[in-house]
Amino acid sequence: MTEILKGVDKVTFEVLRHRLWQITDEMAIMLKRVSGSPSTAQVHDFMVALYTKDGEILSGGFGVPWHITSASAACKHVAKKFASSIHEGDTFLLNDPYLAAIHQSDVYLVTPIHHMGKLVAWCANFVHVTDIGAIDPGGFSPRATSVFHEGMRFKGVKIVEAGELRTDLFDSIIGMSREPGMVALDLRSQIASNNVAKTRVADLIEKHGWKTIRAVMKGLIDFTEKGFRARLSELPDATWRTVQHIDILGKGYRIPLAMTKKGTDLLFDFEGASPQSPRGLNCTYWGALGGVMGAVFSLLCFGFPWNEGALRPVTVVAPEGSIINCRYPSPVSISTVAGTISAANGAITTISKMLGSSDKYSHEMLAVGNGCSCVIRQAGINQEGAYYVSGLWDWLSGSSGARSYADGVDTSGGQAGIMTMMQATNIESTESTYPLLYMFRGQSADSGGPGKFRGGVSGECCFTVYDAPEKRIDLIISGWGVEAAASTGLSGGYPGSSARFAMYKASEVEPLFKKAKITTDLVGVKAKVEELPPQWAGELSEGKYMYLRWAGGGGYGDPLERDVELVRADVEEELISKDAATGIYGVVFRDGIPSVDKRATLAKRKILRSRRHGEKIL
Amino acid sequence: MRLSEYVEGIGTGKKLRIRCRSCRKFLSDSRRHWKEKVPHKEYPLKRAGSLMSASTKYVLREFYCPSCRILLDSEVVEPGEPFLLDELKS
Ligand SMILES: [Zn+2]
Repeated sequence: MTEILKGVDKVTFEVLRHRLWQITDEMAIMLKRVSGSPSTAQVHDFMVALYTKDGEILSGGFGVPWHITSASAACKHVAKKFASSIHEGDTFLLNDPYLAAIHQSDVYLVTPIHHMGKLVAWCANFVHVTDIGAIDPGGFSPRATSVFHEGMRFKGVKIVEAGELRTDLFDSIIGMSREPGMVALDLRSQIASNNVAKTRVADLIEKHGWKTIRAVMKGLIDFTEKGFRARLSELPDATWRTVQHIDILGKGYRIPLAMTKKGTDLLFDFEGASPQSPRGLNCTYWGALGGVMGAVFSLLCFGFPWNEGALRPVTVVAPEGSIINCRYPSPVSISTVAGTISAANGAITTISKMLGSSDKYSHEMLAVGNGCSCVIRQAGINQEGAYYVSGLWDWLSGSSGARSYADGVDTSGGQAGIMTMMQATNIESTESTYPLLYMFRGQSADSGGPGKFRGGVSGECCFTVYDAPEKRIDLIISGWGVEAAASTGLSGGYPGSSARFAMYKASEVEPLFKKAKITTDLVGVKAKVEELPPQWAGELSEGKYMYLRWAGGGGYGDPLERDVELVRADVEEELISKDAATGIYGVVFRDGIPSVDKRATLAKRKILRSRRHGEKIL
Repeated sequence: MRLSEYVEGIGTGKKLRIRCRSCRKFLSDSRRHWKEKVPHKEYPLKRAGSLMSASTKYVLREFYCPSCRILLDSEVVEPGEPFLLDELKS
């Protein structure tokens, strides 16, 4: 058998490569099975990975990929800080965004893996815990103006010591949360997940010998680096640019990105990013690095194991004191869904532009989908009379950006490319767990960015309180993308729709319920409508209906180039309106039937093209 | 050499010329970026669809081939913001 590494043949190398991946898969299953929190079990707001003894990424697994680099930093920090006091059976907890994490709600648990008494590797995971004891329930804190308002923050503590849970510390931690039960479940699922990884890696070493495993660990990282660099060498040397805009509280934040590829290296430079915000939209350097690397793993490292080898060709420059690399003690609680998403969106766009300059790789391009956050948290007294805190994840029904050969996926879940595994909870589970009633949730016509290939459509939903003892609950919104368009398109493709948050106050909906005539939209319902800003805290009470529409996916190419048959099918399936079909795509229908008037369409498209000449028409 | 769906480069260095992939019309040479040579327009974001923001803080900027009028590229930017210029190094 051919040796691929010294003492390791090709088959063994492949078997172990897949075995390491499979171990991370089992870590994810353990998180889902042990935790009962919707965020972990249903939404998949977590990440699992294995690291070398030096904290380098060995196998980035299932979950939100922008945490792979942060958990690496967490392992490195713990390894340095605890050094000689790291023992078999220990597990460490860390969530400080100024050290490694992205925001406090994402709690990292890192566990050393020993062989014959020597540290040989680390396993790590994060879970977004239900409540971290911040100023606002649920961890995303629009009111916070400092990291001290954003909940408990740990620089690394030993939560499990020599196999024993430190109950003094554990009880103190869950005692600082408004949802101690859910946080306890999450922390226990994290310990269980790392225990599984530790056992499986130890078994693997037992079976194949440490020498072989060590060689494969190093070999895998070299394999990815070599393959990634070879892929980069096939692409032209150039700089590609894009810009993201975060719009809140009447202020716009600019996040430009210039990505330069030279030889086999990639530089992501956020020079020119707006100064840091007084609110928690900022991310620390770890958020910027993670956002970029999430896109690098997904769009450039397909086919390779996701490990340190993917990081070696990449440099991320984020100006200190900016929204993309804020200074301590700036607030960061919304960073994952603001600064970090923007960094990821920018990286997706610049990487896609680079792929688009290659005949070989242009089919790998991906426009931004579900580009801005529409996070909503809820808190109050539930139908059992107990205080609760939780999230509402409808926006993670998502939308994905268009590709160079096909439309984006409609309501694709999460965000294609960077939050692929995330998804919304189902309405039945939400309604049975919380004092809420959904009026509707569905796809939103015209939300996909127009193009030769259309962005995936997003969705909208509307809900009210139901069976709430106090007839009200609190809602906390931490979004953006209402004024700007975060899901940018490619090669002329238009952006996906903006987000919308609104509160409808309507008295005539209740009688419809009583007559068992439930409204499936708000069309025709007499209501006082209040458009809500994307950062908002207030109450949802009886007679009020919260409406949300999340962002559609960006389009690809010229909308006037779109296949007429695809436009017709979209109208038929109510994914685009007739107005958009004619006004944007130039497709004209015969009255009353969904059949295209070909001659009128040719004429309409000619007229629309003839209007394309240079002048500002604002 | 393909640069994007609708733009390609012919030659290298100072001999680089940029042309439309749809109609082969030359758009610019190495002295000026092609975006600075072709017609462009800034529209309200609503042009991209009825669910788009009505804000005037941001615009949809479009670049066209002066010959076949294909939509070469679009940008979501603040009004009058400098063009997003991608630059070839080789
Ligand atoms: Zn042309």
